[in-house]
Amino acid sequence: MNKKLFRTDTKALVGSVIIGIVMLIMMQVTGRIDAILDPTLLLLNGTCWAFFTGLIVLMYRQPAGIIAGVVEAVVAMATGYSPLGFFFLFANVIGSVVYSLISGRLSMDKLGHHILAMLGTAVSGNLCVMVGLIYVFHLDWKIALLSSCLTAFVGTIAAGILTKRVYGSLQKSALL
Amino acid sequence: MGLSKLDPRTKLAWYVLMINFSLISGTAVQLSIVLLVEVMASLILMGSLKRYKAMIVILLLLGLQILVVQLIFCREGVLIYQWGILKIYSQALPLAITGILKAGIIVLASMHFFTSSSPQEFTLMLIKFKIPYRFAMLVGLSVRFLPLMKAEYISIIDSQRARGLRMESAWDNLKGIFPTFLPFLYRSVRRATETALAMELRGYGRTKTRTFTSSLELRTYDVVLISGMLMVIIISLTSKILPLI
Amino acid sequence: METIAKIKIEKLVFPHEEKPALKNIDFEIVRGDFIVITGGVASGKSILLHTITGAIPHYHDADLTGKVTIMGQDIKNMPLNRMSNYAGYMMQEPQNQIISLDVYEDIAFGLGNLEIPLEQMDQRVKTALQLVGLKGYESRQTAALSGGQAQRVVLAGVLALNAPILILDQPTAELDPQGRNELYERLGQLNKTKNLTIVLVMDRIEEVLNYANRVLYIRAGEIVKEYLPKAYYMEQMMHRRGRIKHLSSSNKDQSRPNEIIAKISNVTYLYKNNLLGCEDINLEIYKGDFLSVIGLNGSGKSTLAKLLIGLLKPSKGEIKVFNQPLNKGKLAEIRSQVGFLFQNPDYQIFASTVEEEVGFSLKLRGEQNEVIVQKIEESLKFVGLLDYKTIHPHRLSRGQRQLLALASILVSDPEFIIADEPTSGLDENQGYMIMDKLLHLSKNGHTILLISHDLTMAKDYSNRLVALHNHRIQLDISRRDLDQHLDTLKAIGLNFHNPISFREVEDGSLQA
Repeated sequence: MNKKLFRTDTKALVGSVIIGIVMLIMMQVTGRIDAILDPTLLLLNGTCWAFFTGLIVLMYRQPAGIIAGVVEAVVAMATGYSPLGFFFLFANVIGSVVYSLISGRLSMDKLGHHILAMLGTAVSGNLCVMVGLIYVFHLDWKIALLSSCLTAFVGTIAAGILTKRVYGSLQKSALL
Repeated sequence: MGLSKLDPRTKLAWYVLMINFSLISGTAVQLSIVLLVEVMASLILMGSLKRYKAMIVILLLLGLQILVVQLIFCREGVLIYQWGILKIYSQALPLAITGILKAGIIVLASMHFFTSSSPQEFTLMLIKFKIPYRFAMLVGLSVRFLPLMKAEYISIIDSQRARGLRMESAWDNLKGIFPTFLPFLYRSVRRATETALAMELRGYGRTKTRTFTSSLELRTYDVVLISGMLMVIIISLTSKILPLI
Repeated sequence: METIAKIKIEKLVFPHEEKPALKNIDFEIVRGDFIVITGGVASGKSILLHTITGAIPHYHDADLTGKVTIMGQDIKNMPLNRMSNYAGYMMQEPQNQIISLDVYEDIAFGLGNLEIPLEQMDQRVKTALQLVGLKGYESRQTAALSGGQAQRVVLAGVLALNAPILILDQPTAELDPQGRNELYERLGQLNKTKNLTIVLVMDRIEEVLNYANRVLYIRAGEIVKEYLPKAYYMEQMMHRRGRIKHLSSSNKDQSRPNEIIAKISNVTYLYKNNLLGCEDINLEIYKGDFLSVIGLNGSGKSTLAKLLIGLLKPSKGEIKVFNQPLNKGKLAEIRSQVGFLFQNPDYQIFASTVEEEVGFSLKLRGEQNEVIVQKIEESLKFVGLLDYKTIHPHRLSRGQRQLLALASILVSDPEFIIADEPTSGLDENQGYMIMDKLLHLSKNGHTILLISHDLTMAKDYSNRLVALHNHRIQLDISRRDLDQHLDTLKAIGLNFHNPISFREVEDGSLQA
């Protein structure tokens, strides 16, 4: 098994659940701020999603990334935190797998590596959301594409920088 | 018969059936019928719709958002109103309505499925699907830790406010994300490490199988219901796909 | 006497660190031993426990030179999930160790992992619950347990595995005196009646020494002395007497000046679900007071503290701090002069270095860089963390992190300091260290409000005691007059006579 991609020890499994819950709570917090500052773009929420999707993979690899994504979406639905969780289930899983595939091939020492991995995650995740917008909400594809591109762009840059800094700080703390 | 008496696998089949209907039904009438069936099922099995109150409010807000977006951007149908660059087309409203009905069906079905079984039942269902128990048991862990961690996050916010961090406006909240999120993250990593250690030292993952204090068995009515629903799914999918071939 | 474990560690070094965390450790554990490990802040006590449980090196990365064997098995070669055959381990925070939603499931968790058949499992769960005094708690929700009960549920889960050694890391540090007594009493019984070997890192001395037969004192990662419990108790008591003498000369009643720092008038607070937080509170806090608010868990102590800093808004009545009402416009200004020390330092720590963490509140206030640097140095020096200023705060021990939280408050030079259970989660030595710092500040003119269920500390350090009972102030007295009110305090569950002392055990009165 590729050690850069997979980890199935108990620390990683439990970590995925707990950080999945952190993600859920922070998604709610950023969602509330977005509702006031940018109610239709949800840039903060999108960045928060991309950041956690990347960070969890860096911390605990796979399947932790997938588990955290499923925990976030399912617990959000089950507890009424965010009844729309279903629509993020696929984005969470696909975004996480893409991040693993890219980050597993890079040293992740440079900011560029983080941005590149995040680009893959943000694009694939937002593609899922775009399909949902078109198929479920019947939104015009050009509008859906524009909105997804914007969120993906902001998410890539902001979340790329953030994952590097926060992951660096976690490594320094020796908590991992 | 209460919903809780059904096997979680029966509920899963119902969930898949509803998602299937929401995605393949094209008209507002079809979707309304499916939604009505769901609501009736909720009423029969649970007695009231009280627990869906928050969900309904969120769906209405979402509906409003979809409606506004469709009114502004929809270009299907005929032009019925123009004011400067704002053009409203005839298909905007029907599209918004079918959109919100589809979302409503999916959300209600998800709530049905995820709130009607205990974490232990979900774990047992995953075990039946041959998922290793080390993974399946994480379901219970997430339900156990959510309220604890939510309370902890509130304490962290209080703690930083006492230190002088302002959390009054949305802008303050934005600036306050890092001083509140980072302690939360560190605390959670510590918690994960301790919990995992406690679990391993109590033999977690020692062997491939373990003893559970309860078990799942499909009853006759579960088998009948699952077969019936699977048949409907297969028939509806075939009738959609066949004409395409 | 059967040797059950041999611990021989030449050196244990964590990655990226030069100094060994443990060195020259060599001792044996005999079946039936009740060993207490003690030492100062960051001395390596918990790390030593981790090497016995196998968490080091299996779980935490470290370079271990030496050999740890339990019942002849080298721990290095044993997966952690097989350790339950040899040792059970219980940590400080019970909530992190409870896995399941109800008590029965939680105790059965380990048994299920060992594939114990259902009937046997049922029997063992019931026996374990009986051993910890929680018979009949099977169907209780784990989220609704009190701290003491939760810790006993964890203990039951560990005991159910029937491991011959029980290892505990400050098991009662988060509990109130009642919870502490209950737990140690159970441990003592298990050691005597079941010949269970116990190794624990100590939190409070009186209770645990009653049951121990060996005390290991560790300093800078090395066991420097082994005591008999009685000898250690005597030494500690002498030390404490000296401390009390020193304190009593310093915590004389303030000749109450007229300056009032905070005034609470007719305050009632109701939580959202209409639960009473506190009722009809009238309290004046004077400049220079070292005031302790005491009371059982749930009596309204923390609510009072949060009201004082505006984290909660009174449902009725008024609060003035520095003669200004606590309203939105004044809150930021008032908070800049009040320091609030929380029970758990980890709720505040977010920076990547110790110095950045301390400087946070000054940055919020927009102070100049030179001033910030100077004040950081001063406060870190005061709490003894200057040498650690560039490291990540989470590399510090729990006691050091509490000192860091104190430094983060002191850096703003607050006139009024509110400390909510600041010694919770710390062992006795660490607790006294925090309290000494608070006393030092009090002597320098700061006003201190201490929220505590530790009656000994409240009595030793403060000049004024306010007792809360059922959300109301029951008593507001000078420390000098405490002796006249002991019965009243006892009636509301605050027993200032030490419930169990070491001597009583010696006399045999406890066993009786």
